[in-house]
Amino acid sequence: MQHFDPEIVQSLESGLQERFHQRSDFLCKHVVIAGEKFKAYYFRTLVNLPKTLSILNQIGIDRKNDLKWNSIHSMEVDAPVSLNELYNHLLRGKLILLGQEGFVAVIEPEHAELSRPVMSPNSENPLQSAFDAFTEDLDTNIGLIRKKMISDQLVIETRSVGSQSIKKIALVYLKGTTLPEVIESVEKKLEENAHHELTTVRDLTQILGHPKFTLIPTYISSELPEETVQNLLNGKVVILMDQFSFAFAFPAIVSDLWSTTLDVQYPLLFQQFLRTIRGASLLLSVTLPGLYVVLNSVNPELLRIQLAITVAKSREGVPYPSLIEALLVLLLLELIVEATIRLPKNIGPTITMIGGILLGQAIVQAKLVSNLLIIILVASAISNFALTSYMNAVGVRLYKYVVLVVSSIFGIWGLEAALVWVILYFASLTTCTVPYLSWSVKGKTADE
Amino acid sequence: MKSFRVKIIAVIMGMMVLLEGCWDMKDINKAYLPVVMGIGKGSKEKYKIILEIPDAAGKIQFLEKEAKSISKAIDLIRTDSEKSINLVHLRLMLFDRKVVDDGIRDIIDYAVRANDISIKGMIAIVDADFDKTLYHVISPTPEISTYDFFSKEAGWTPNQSLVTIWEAYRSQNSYSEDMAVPLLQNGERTIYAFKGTAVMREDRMVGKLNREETFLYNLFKGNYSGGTIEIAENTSVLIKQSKIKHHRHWSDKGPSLATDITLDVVIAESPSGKSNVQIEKEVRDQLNRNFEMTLKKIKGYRSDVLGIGVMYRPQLTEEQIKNWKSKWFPKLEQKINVRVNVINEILIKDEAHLDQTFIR
Amino acid sequence: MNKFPTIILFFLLHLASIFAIFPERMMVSASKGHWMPVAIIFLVELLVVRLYLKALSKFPGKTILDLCSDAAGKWGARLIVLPLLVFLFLEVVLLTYYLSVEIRTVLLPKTPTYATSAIFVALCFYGAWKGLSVMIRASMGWFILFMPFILFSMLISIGNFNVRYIFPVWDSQFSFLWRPDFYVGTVIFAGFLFLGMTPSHLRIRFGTAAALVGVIFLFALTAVYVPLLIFGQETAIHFQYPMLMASDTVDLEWVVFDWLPSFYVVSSSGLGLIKVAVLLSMLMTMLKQLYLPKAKNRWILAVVCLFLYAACQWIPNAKALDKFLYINSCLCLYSTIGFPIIVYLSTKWRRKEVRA
Repeated sequence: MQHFDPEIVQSLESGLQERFHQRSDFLCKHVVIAGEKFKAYYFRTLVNLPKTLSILNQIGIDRKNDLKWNSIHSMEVDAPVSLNELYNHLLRGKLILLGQEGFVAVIEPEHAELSRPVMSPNSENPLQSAFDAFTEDLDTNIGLIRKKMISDQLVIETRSVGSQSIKKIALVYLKGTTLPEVIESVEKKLEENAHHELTTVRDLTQILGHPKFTLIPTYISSELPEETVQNLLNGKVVILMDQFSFAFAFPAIVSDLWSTTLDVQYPLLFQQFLRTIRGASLLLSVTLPGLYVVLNSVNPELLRIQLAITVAKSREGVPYPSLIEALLVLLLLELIVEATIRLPKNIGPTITMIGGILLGQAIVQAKLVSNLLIIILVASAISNFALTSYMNAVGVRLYKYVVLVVSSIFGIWGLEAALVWVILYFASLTTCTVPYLSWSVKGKTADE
Repeated sequence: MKSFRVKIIAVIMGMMVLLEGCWDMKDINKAYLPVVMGIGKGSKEKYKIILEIPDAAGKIQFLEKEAKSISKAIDLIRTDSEKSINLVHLRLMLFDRKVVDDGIRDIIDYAVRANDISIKGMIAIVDADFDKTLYHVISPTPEISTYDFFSKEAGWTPNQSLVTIWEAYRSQNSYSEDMAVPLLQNGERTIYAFKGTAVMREDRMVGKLNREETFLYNLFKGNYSGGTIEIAENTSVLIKQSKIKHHRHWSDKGPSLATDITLDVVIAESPSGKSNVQIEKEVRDQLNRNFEMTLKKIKGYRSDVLGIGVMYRPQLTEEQIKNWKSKWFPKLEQKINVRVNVINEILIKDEAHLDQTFIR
Repeated sequence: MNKFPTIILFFLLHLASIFAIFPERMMVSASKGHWMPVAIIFLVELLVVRLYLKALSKFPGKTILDLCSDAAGKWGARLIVLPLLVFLFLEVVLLTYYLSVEIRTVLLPKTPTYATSAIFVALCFYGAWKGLSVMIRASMGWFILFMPFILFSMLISIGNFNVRYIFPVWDSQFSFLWRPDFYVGTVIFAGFLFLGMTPSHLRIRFGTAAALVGVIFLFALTAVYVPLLIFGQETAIHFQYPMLMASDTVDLEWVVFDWLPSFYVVSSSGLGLIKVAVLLSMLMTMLKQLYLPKAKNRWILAVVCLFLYAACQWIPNAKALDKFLYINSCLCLYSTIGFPIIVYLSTKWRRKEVRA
């Protein structure tokens, strides 16, 4: 709340009118609060005016004592200086009151009901943990984290990024747990690129200066506050974006490929077992298609004679080389996966059945591919989805093709070379000063 | 612009590799995978090579060519066959007796040198009509029974000797060892019948051990896993375990070796009334006698198939090892002392009938 | 401050030699008592590593290059390092050639060497380009990926051992000292040189290094004795790749795969990769720091790799390889024994100067 020259207020008014005159939900209303007349500027779609007014009326506007304002829930008084700031406030759903005598106040009103309530997660299936999930509202999300983690070390910095459209983000970390270098590098990047537009997750990684082409995601996204809390405890920096129901933990390290933070809910032995399985599935999903080609056409001597004969039999009559065969079926498999992902839940199974059972059966019977290939590729696909997150799985899915092609040229040596390259690549990857091959973000140890 | 050019170059290089590459790509169904190779004497040329190729249906395909060398013959087979030939799964090399008489050194060297033949394959000598044995098919054949015949996990028994290519190569080069190669013939109902063991000196066959002698040979070598000894009519024992201990001595006259063989046996068949002690004695006497004869026979061949030279290695100098076969082995004094211990774990008690008489 | 990856890299670099060149040379160098040359080599290594690490520990934060140029001036350092450079280059070339030939013989009989070695060199280029600390980090991945294969291919053939082939165990004349092959075996030393180039917080202490050398000694002994115990000395010397042959003698039903030498080649080439990459990155750093301070790392490396690739294509056969190995062994002796001693002495001088 501030007093300005009436002239300035006049100019502010006209400025607002001008700027938003084509926005049909922008309104200017005369309201009476505590017996005084005000002009209220706001977006109808964002502000619940009647409710706000009734609350304001209850408190009354004390022109002198600002403290009283601040102490009241959901109200905020600020000092708008420029027109631009007013715009921003309006767009963020604030209510601007212009009174007589050059009185200007920006008020945090009761919002229109635009956010959904906290619900159970949609894209993750936790087994043994809290079931609440993040929503779109930033404050709700921060609240969820605060509630899950009662600690005075929890630091939450809110910033806004972008120039055209402004996005609020919150930087959350645990002081003392997260490495200072990590926090520093993240803050520095956010500072440097504060004017970049931020609408997608990719924008976020670009703002943080992560490489454009990465084989594996440099962050972990999660819908679960519980998981986010674990990430914080593991020394990661979490970034929450407003209107985005996922939390992003930076930086990802190699063990995130096979461990989810929710594993800690299980007994230790089970956790180790599950992680081993996932590690194995990582290796399998990358190598299996390549291995099929290796065993089938480049280095058949690796197969035992019994197996070699049956494999040869199953390929009898298949007209093209095993690389093409594998590529064809892989393409089909990717199509099925992509087709099922966005379908409504009640159609998904149908596609799976048509694609998996009917097509698979038919394609083998038509001698277009060998049945061993189907087994191998399905095993590879299944192990692919045994990985911890969909994002990780995509990178692995992609790299599988590299392995496939290289090993079709160089056999087992090619397979080895492809794996070695991945190790080198992982070793050279460093995000937010943390090398990708580290045991944990907390310590300084670096390895796989 | 610059990075664009780099990318183009990378793509072109990649395409070159891809288009020109796949040198070794040959699908498994486009190659024959022979399991057995027969090496016989050709009618016109030096070698006749017969390859046995199994398929999943249980049939066996035979391919045959003659040439002056083995690889040439295989090349000729490859020329005529509709698929390529991949020798990587070759598991058994069968030599014709006539080839062996000319020496097998070159063939073994070939097998070791060829990088597509695994040196863990077996070798054997056909001591019958070569073609008949090679072309002998029993139907329906499971695809790899030729290999299983020698597999310790499948069909091998202590009555058979067995030697792999690498063992043959080792014996061939060794100063202190000779090899023993199994002799085969086509079976009636089975693919092969075991005829005995060829005793080789260097790469020539000098003698033959029959089946019982082969058994003793295996016993001595410690290649042991279960087997029966027949003593007299109706009496046979089953060997459960054998322990072998060699006592080596070296005097000016030359080496002398005393071997203690302790056998744990169970009685498989025995006529009633024969006590364990008696059986023990009979087994012992018989084995001692047989061993003595076998050893004499082997020594007569002047071939160290038992690998005694290797046992003496700790005591010999390099010079002496080099002279082992020519100088020291003929001077070898060898004694064998068999001890037998009847452990009765089979269902019938030894003294049961005595108890019965007591009750009466 | 975790030094574990450094330890692993030290281990792997030595294993690389154990899986290539070293065992067959040891086997040829002595006709009996093969453990003796191996033991002598490792004793010497222990000594040299001690000097080397002592010199380095006096000046933490400095690499051997700094030490040399401090002590001998810029030109002196260039002179001292020159043979080392040649050694590194030759070693890299020979190892690459050896491994590409091995890959071609066992895994890809029809693929031309220029293709297999192209991949080899490209991977090493990538690794060396990323730098030594990346290689140190990657060594853990290597360890996890290749150790099963390494142990597998070393120990799988135990069933075929004939212990008596170990004899005779004593060579009273030390006849191996007069065989050039014995000196070729010293290539295994190249595995510790990288310690002088690492950032100082990743350096290991002598105690750790000594323990490691002990472990590596066991591996080297195994590598030498596995073929010996299977084939006997008389036979084993006939083989170009005795360990490879040894792993081919195994036939076990429970092993899913059939052609076990492949695993030997896989582990040997994997280890070769890391060794060549590390040596290349050392080469690059030396060139950059002492000779071409203005050139960019990437270009130095690219040129070196091109030369490496060309040289690999140029070596005609195994005989030439032998000849170069003999030549290289002199350089190797200088670089692995002479050079650390020079470094050690130079630090002594410097200390005196500082005191005076």
